[in-house]
Amino acid sequence: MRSPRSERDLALAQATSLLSICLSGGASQREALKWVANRATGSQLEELAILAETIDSGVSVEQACAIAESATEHPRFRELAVKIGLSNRLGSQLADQLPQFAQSLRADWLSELRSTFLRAETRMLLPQVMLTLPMTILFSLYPSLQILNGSYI
Amino acid sequence: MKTTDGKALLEYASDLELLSSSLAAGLPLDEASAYLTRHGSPHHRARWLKLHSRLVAGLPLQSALHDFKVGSADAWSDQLCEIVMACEVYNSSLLSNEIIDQAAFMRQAGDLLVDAKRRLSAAKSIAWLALAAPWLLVLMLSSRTENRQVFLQPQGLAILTIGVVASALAFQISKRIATLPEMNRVFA
Repeated sequence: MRSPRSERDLALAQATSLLSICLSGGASQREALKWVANRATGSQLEELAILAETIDSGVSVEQACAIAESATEHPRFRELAVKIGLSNRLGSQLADQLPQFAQSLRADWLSELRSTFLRAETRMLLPQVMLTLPMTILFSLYPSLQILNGSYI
Repeated sequence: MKTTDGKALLEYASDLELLSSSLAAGLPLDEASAYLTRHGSPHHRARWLKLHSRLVAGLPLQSALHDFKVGSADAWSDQLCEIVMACEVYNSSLLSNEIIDQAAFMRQAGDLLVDAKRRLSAAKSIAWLALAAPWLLVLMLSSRTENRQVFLQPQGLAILTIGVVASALAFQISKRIATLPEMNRVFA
């Protein structure tokens, strides 16, 4: 069974929770992003690492988020980049928005996991229909056909 | 713990709820983990004991959590350790809340996995029955001497061999489809 495609969403949810903790503890967005990106070891958060690297190279958080937003193909990461960029520009509290975002990502992951399981249940019938059923028909018809042909003697 | 083991995940979620309550009540992490070694689920007590012993031995929190991660080797423990670490580094007061959120999520995932395992096990039983059907048919047909002779001819044996291969293939494919995917570790 394949892993759900939203595996990256789950990784992003985990990173978002950590970001929220760092920000609520008083860390700056720059610092929080860098800390979380440094802790990640899996390839699922590569875009976050690139964002943190861009910020670390001296680009402003807002600009780095705009770059990340245009570069990514992952819609949920784009959403996060927009959130961070907006909060940085308008001064809104990012730590309050992130837990809800993480919850929505987790809900997506759970929903996709559920549909993966349901798909697997149906797909399990495929080998029976494609292999076992023709085999059963062959086994049942073969002796009769041979006897009719008279070739068994 | 395998991340696909729904029952173990539900027990782990209960442990995290206990941990969250202990931390919210003001216990430090070493005492909270000691509490879990006594009252946590039997399945996970060893890991709490390990964490407790590391903390009591005076190891820095980061090293103790690293050992916990290595010992547990699953994505759920990685996330727990990162939450604890982030709260420690940034002195956040959200530790108890974050752990309870994590436990709630694990509970949902655990319920889903238990349900999926039950359904897939039913589907597996049906697949086994389906696999046995052609061979029962051969057995029944072979009760007649004429049929038995047909099956014992070279062509008949070749067809039976094809049947064995097809059955093995169908079994392998079904088994592969029924294997639940493991969660990738993001903060290993």
